[in-house]
Amino acid sequence: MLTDKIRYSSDQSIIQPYLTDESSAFRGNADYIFFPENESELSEIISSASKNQSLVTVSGGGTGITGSRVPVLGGSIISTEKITDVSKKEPFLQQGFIQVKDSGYSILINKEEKRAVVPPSLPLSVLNDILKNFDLSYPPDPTEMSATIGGTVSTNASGARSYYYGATRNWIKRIRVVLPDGSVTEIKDTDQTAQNGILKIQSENINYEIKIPARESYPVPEIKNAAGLYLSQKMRPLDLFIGCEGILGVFSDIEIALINRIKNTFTIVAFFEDKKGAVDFVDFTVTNKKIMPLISLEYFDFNSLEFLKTEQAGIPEKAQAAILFEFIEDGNQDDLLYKIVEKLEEYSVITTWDIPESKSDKIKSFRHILPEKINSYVKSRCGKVGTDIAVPHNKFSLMFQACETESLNTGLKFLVFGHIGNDHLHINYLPENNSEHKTAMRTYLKLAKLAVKMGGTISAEHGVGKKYIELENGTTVPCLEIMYGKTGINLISDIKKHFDPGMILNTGNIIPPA
Amino acid sequence: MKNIIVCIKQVPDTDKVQINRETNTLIREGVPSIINPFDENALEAALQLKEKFGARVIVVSMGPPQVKDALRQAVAMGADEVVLASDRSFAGADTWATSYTLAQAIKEIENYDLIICGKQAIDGDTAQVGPGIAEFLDIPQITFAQEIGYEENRLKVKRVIENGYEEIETELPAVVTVTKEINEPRYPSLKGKMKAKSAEITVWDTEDLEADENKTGLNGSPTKVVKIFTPPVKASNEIFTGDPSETAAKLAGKLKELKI
Repeated sequence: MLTDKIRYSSDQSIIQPYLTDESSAFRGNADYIFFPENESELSEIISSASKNQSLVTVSGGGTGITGSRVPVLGGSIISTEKITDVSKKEPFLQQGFIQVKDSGYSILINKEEKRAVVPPSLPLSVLNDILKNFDLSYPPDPTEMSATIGGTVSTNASGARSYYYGATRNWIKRIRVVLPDGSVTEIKDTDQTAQNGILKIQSENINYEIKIPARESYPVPEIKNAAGLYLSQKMRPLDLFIGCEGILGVFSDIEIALINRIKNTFTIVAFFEDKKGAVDFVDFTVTNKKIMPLISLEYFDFNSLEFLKTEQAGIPEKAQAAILFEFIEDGNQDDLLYKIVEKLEEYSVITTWDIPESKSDKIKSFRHILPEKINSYVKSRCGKVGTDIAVPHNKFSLMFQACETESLNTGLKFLVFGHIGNDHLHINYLPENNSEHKTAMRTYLKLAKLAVKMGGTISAEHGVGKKYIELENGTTVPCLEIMYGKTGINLISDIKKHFDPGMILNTGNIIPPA
Repeated sequence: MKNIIVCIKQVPDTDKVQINRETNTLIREGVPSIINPFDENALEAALQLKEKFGARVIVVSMGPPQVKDALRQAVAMGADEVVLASDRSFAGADTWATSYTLAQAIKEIENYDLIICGKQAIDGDTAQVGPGIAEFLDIPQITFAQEIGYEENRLKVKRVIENGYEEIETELPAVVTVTKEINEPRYPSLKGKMKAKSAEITVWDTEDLEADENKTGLNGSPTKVVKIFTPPVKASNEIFTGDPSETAAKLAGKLKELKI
């Protein structure tokens, strides 16, 4: 029995919005939705679900596109949206943190130490607004800023500036997690790393000892990655939970590291006569970071630019590709500007736009508008098939070529954009009918396998969630199997069962339900 | 066309501006300055005419030395030459004195065919300076242009009116003020930005302009600001709060009550 004051509903009109996510590609069903307001209520709900062996799926901001928050197997939903306050404030208030309330959320900030403690439901946009007043920034910048911080930690989210600042994993100092048995644990970034292949995690009830697989059986790519659990011999306990897509626990408090506010940025868009010029310019930049200290590098191909032409006049007609990049103005940029101008001329640049700071938000919003425009384009058609692959930098040029060749061979309409600085591009196929959709999926499989062969990942930022794929032999498997095989899936399954023997929490994410 | 003159004003970025509640004036401190957006449309229109028909684009502004930043941005966008009318005695000018001073600067440039201005500045919203310049120069004016065509030495302009537009032709020289519908201003190029850093900015004072000091600045301004106030809000708002379902029910009830 749950405490009376826990809010819940079985009203299907209330549950309905939680039965899909941003992708609209998944459909779920649920008998109840719970709205815990703090850590102890969250713990109570999960503990009760664990005792009753009933399935629970956790919902954050609903901005994911892999079905992670969609209860496809039924059961109940836990929405974290009412956990708007930090659970254990006292120790932080004594350490010089101050409490800030904004837009219905309450967070703790320590300006001097550049740290903040936030509730899981806090949207990044609200966090940024609060931090502005303190002249601070939280670097992870996923395209979708209405994402909740809990969701972004669950998926190890990244964004344009991850090129310079890295993904979410780099910015988490401490988490409080409600484990699948309802017990709570606190994990700090300084906790003991795995020793001799064993990672120790203590909760209120149990001391867990997780066996970390050898690299041969679970080769985590050494690049930006959001596919599967992070498992490595020197990993921190924190690493296990960041990017676990909810299968090991639910965050109740998150402490993040901050930096001085990122300001005085230059935003440039360079248009190229050919794609190779764009790719080569990026290659020079990525391999000469000292000469070219950029903080983001984004790619748009010709078809992406075509989609954007309705939003922005003046995009050169003959531009086959564009790179949008940013750097920080430190008052002495003339040398760097000359270098950039010089370099761009070597790589068939048509023109550049130097975006004044007052207009940089508009240009950056293109990156956001683009997927939205694609989604509205495919709505009346056959859905889209989009890749999220990334490869090590020394393989990028080969991968780029392969994507180009394979995609042209399909004869389908497609467009390519993404975080090229991280060797990470999204190829979006826009099939017109079911047969074209199948063709797109076959090409997706081919390219994903090639990325894995090159030491890359099938998902650099979206996560794998409940995504499945049909193999050449007609069998359907979880997407992650392409990357780690059945062995990898079983390894993850074993770790999940350590924490969640009844497989009740966010079941179906990353690995199959049974 | 030989010379196209574009008049620009540096204004505070009103997206980021706040009002001082006591004085009801703009708080300008710490607010970034930008080129008045309509003036960017004017410059873009000039650059497009230059690309089509060939011309020099000369940008003129009046203001304190920091207006040079706006003029450098105009160079980065593609202006060939920039001129700043700057003198302590120009300070406090209303639209009449501003029009007079800019007209004096334009007279100095000579050989102009076309003068393009934004329809109004976003900080003052008067829309008087463009027409004022035309009057001081005693040349034709066409306001609120949404399209500028040029054929056989004549200008053909589509002028926005309620529910449509009117087509007006004129001989040159003339003054045209433009709306934002006319084009989307280009971004400065990186090369342009480099060029702008070292661009020479001509600065003219009262003497250079052979201006009558009684017609410039505060001295020359017939407008006297007596009081600035925020107009009272006429409509009354009712805000419903509570659960979404409750709120929706309340709203629906209210709409029924009002028979909307």
